[in-house]
Amino acid sequence: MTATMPQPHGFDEMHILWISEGMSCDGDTVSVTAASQPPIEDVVLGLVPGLPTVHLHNKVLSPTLGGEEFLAPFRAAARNELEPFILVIEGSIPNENINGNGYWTSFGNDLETGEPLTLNWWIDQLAPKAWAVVAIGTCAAYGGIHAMAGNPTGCMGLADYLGWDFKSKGALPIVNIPGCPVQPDNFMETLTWVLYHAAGSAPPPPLDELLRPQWIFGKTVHEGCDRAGYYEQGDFAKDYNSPKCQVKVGCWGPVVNCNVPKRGWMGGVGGCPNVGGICIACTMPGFPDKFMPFMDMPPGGSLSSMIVKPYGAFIRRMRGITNATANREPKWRHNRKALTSGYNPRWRP
Amino acid sequence: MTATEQAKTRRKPGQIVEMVWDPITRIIGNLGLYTKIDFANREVTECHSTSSLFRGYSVFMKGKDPRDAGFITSRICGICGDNHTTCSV
Repeated sequence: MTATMPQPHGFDEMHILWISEGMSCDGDTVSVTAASQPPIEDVVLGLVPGLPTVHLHNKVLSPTLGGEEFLAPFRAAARNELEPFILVIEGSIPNENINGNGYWTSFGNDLETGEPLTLNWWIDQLAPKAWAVVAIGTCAAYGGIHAMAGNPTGCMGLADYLGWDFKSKGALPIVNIPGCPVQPDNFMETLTWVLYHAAGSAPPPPLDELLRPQWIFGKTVHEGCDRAGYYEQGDFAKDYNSPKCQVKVGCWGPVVNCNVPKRGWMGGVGGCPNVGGICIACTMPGFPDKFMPFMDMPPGGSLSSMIVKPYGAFIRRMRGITNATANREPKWRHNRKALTSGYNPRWRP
Repeated sequence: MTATEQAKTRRKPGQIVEMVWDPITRIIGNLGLYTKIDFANREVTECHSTSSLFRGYSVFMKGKDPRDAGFITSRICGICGDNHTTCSV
């Protein structure tokens, strides 16, 4: 370590203001507690080398008394007295223009008037002041379940609310990490990258055109599924009790961007279609309407399975033959008095 | 026990303290409690609770395929989604 090594330019301390008061079930907060790469505890306790000191303000994981003690850092940030901070939004943003004097969701009250402060007010106050803005879960990223057809709240994703070309104070676009709930390590990896960027030792995370991290959402479920081999052999499950490919019983895997089957759910174990759950495309902007009814075969499924079945039946027969041959030992492995292995002491090539 | 109990000692002059916890931490979902507590007489004189979130599950689930009910209702809560799924099936 020489004295001439350049110091990274970045922050030593970072607050994370986490508001889960959107149209939300708080499932993403619960899911993140299962992460191990790195665990949220390690990040908050400073056990990950190179990260800034992180102060996490999350309602579920808060040691405070609640009420005003919990809201204090949020109010301070709105008054420009707390920085830098990363704003994490969980849950979709309701449309407050359509409900007259009412409100769909609030987070604390105005100290002077006692009226509830809507989530939209908080986003309007905090997003322009945040060093980075992160949307965790499909609801915050693209609207999710609560934005399905027929919903009364008119809710939407954070990028729909702030604008898709929104840039935070740290010159970052909104970072969307979808999933219903988000896969624990997907979020922690992305958050850790953003924190390293805050510390000055990493470039901004590479995002695709839907603002998702590219290295996580670049491949489809099918490309990472343990059961993809069954698809290739035209071997399909006809009900929900089979170890085979589930495309014919409703799995949307081939057209969904998600890495859960590849990396498992917790600690590498599981992963929806791997363990028998049909993929309902919960990471996608079109979720849930474009994939309902979930238990019906996806429209392309009938064509693709029809095409692959004759190839699959033929190739399984051929592979069975080769497999039977490979499962028999060569004939010269025996205990008789003669050596029949083809040994020749004067063998030359 | 209660019928033969002596009358309690004379009520002290009350000091009502207003205590508010909104939002409540360490829970899933929204809850706010607004209370007026008389500490001298060890009594809660008023208590109101509010949940400041409306999502409309019973509205947008109408008309959808009933087989999807289990998938959708599990998103009502991030901890106990499983029991909503079971009840909806």
